[in-house]
Amino acid sequence: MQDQVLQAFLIKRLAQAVVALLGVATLVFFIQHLAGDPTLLLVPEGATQEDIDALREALGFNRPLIVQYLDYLGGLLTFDFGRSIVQNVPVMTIISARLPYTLALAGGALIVAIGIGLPLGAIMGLKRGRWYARAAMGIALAGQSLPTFWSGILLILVFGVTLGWLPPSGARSGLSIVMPSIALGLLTMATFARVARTSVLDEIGKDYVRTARAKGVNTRRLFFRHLIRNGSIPVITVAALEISNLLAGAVIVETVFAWPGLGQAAIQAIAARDFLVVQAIVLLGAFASIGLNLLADILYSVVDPRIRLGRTR
Amino acid sequence: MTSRTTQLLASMLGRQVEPSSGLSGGRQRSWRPVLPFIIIFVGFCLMAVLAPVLAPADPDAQNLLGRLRPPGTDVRGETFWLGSDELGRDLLSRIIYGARVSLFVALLSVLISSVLGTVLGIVAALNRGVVEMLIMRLVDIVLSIPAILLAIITVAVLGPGLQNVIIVLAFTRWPRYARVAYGQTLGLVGQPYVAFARHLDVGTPRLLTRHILPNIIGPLVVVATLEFGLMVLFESGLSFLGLGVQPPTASWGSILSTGRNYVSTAWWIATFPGVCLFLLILSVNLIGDHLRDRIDPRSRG
Amino acid sequence: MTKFGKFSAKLALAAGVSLAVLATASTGAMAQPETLVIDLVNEPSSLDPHRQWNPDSYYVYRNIFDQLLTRTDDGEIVPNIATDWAYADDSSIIFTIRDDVSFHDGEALTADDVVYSIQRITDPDFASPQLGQYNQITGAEALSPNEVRVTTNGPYPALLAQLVKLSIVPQHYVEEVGNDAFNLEPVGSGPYAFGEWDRGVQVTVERFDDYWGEPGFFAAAEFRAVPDAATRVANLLAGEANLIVTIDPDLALQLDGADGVEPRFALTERVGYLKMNTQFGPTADPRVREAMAAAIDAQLIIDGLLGGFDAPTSQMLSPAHFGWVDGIERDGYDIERARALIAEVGDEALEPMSFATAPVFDQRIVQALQQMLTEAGFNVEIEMTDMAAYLARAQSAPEQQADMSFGRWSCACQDADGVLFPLLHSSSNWSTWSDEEMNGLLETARGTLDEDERMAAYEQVHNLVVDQVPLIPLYQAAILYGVDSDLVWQPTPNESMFLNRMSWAD
Repeated sequence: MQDQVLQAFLIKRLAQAVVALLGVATLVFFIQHLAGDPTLLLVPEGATQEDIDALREALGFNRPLIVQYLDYLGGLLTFDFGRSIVQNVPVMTIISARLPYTLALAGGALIVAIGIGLPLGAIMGLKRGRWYARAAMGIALAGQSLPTFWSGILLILVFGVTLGWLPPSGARSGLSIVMPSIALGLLTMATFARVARTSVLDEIGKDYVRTARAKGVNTRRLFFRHLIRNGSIPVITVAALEISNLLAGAVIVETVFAWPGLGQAAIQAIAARDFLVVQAIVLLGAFASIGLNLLADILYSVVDPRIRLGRTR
Repeated sequence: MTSRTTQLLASMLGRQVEPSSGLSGGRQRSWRPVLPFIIIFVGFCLMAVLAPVLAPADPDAQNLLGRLRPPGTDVRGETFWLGSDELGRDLLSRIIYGARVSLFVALLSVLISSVLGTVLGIVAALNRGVVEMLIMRLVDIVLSIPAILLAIITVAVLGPGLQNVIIVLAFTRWPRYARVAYGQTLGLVGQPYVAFARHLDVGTPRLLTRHILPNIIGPLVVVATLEFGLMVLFESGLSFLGLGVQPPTASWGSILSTGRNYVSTAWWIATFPGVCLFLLILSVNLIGDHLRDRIDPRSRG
Repeated sequence: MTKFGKFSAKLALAAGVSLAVLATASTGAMAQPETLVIDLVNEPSSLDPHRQWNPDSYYVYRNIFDQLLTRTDDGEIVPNIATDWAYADDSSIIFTIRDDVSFHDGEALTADDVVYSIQRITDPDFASPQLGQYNQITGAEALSPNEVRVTTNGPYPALLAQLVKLSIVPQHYVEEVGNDAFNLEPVGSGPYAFGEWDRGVQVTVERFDDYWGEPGFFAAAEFRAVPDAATRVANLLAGEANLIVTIDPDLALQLDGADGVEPRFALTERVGYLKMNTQFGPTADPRVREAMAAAIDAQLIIDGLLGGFDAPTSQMLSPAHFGWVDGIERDGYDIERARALIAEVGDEALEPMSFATAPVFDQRIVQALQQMLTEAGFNVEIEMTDMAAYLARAQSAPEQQADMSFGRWSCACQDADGVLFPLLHSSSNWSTWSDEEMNGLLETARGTLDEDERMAAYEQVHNLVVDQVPLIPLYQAAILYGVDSDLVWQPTPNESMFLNRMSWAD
């Protein structure tokens, strides 16, 4: 019975996901083409109209928009993401070179966000009402309030130039990932702090803690064991949901730190009107977002069978 | 993101976030801890409104021979209290006028996106079937695109500028509200009294104003507050990428993004707007967080 | 995935021996490294020299490939792959090809490779974005193993200047592996051979030991992509990069105060200018354009804003161009005259005017220009769009164009024809100016190889520009680099970056 429900749920959600991805592809395709094609960016200054027209034709941008769209969709069906007209390589070459860096940065940022966010959240829950609990919340939210293009350059100047502890930018050594991870991780630290606080408050409210407290028994070890067991699932789930936010935040962080991920590639491709590269990156981001949301929902239902999958949006 | 997270967490633990009884409901948490931040926020708002009165100089008036002067410098009888910027403009005046742009962009984009999103969310919840499907799939589509990327792609079409930035942000963010409004309304429609009211055919306006809006406004206000801080950040990010308001108009984001090239030679240009931005966003976030605690029954107590 | 494997290995290494890395990083600054690190803005779009046309690409590939001709640091066109050339008639020229050049794979470079390169870049089906620079060439043929005849469709005085940019590619290799593989693993005959392209991170080139000419000093060079100017400066200050491109004068001043690094600059062939819409809006009135010219204090912009690196000019050329005429001088800054002219025109001059620009241009200059025009009484609104939209608008029908736009023009050919013809001839899509006399002069200068006749025509063109103000030339732009002070290297007007002209000071 449960299996059938799960199956029906999955089929429905997968269908929705396909519709959404198709929608993303369509929406972004038409928005981008409204902005004009890249031909003028490719030619040297002073190119004549004939040269420009010839190049436009060679690149296929003189075809009716609907033809270009169908052509693109046709390619997508066979998982052909097309070629970059700027770099003259298949889009997949660009994506596959940069994806690992983006994933590594997302991972690094998660470690920072969780590493700082959870302790802050625990303080907020355990010491509720005290001033330092409020200060902890303030710190968590402060991280979310800094424009990364500013905090980024400050980090670079302090740790990269003045102190010389870390490479200022790039991805030449493994240490290069530290600063971008911090800049990006600070942005989502508050989310984890909040989750941790909720978990702690939940645990405190449980009967065994109350009873133990009433009896004056020290339950610290038991408490933390329970906390870790019950609290890890929400953290993992929120982490899954946060990844797609991190991908978006990475756009600016990667530019500042010259981190060779997809965000930086996306900015460059948008400016260069390299449509198919933008399409692929956006689709990948959408795919990740939809997939991780689905995963989070399934995770809930596994953890807590009381949640009926069919009702989740 | 965060409201969905809260909901999911709550649901995971077997408790749906109940439609709240509005801003005034339930046991109150004191406003005192966030009072300083409310004051900061109100202060910035006053600064924006009173800019022409407060600003000692024309924010766009340049003096190419008085560039990059440190705070307190006198140039031709004029004192640059916070120093001058890369074109010899009075930084203090630019920050005061910049408050207008930064707050205006955030306020208007939040207003437009929240109204649009709420209306569509309620419409979807009350018209289950094709309309619901169309709206909610569109919500899925827009939400799944990394927000800042969608904003950049759209600005590339419309061109930068105050008005376009607001349109772009509103267009990018409305689905947040739509999803919350939809979920909350769906929950309400299941409630007996709403079902009863619908059965009596009280008419849509009355249904909305009497039964639905008052009950869903709380969570929406929380989302809007948290979004406000994000919109300020987005505007500054777009400025950094050269896609914000048109020069020479000052916004905190635009001053900061030029100022970051001068961190080691003229620290004041980035520091003052940076601190203002930080305080503004932090205040709004703290106020939003506080509001959320008041409204979300789970974290109250 | 191999790349990620490599990256994880780096990560593991870093975790394990981070202290060691730190230690070597701090001592590494002492010894002069064998590998030169250069921070560009973006990674090259392409290393196929017949494809993309942008500095980030040609900074790299001009070291991997040899060009048919080259320029000295002083700008003189000198032999390179071609040792000698002679005009057979007005529309054909015979080049003698060097016979001691071999490609990185060991094959000899012959006249056939030169012919192939010309045919490839002019082949419409190949669709090179650079086609416009070579489309006057109608044919190329090998007369002997070391002689090539190039024919043009009539006299084409800028031909040699264009061939300075023509890289010679190996016919045997390109035909064997195809265009795509060639783009990924280019083989040339230059002083440096392609090493590795770590996409998004860096391109590495290695010294080619059998190079026929001046050998490279550095064993290798890395070209890295660092989009943010402030980050590039930080890299230079931290000793992570030895040479950085594209910084503005204020960032350059930051380097002045730091140890071991310095800004270095060259006056380029780029000219900053204000172009007006001469057909629609207030700027259709010549008095309005004259008033604008009088309202702009170019010297103040240069001294106050640009750190004095740039040089004022009254013609659309730099002294590095053929066609530069000494002594062309427009009336200087005179705000009273500007105001008087505006009063004479009346209300029409006070209408709001749009001022188009793009983020790649220095926004401080644009804002300063706007301020100067505002002070004279004009009502000017800056309209910044991204580069693609800016270019599209600049080439739209005149009634859709902005009232004025800021630009920095370079034909990368150092010949007046590449600047003045597209900007001022009525047939050009870059021009709103339509004047029979101007058209005639530009056509005369384009259609003859007689240098005196050309110079005479260009002198008249410059005078027409001063009199009728179809555009306002503002300044000859400097290009600024940040360099390690020990690096021996002089930037050039044509923005080249030849590694074999660089070395460490002793």
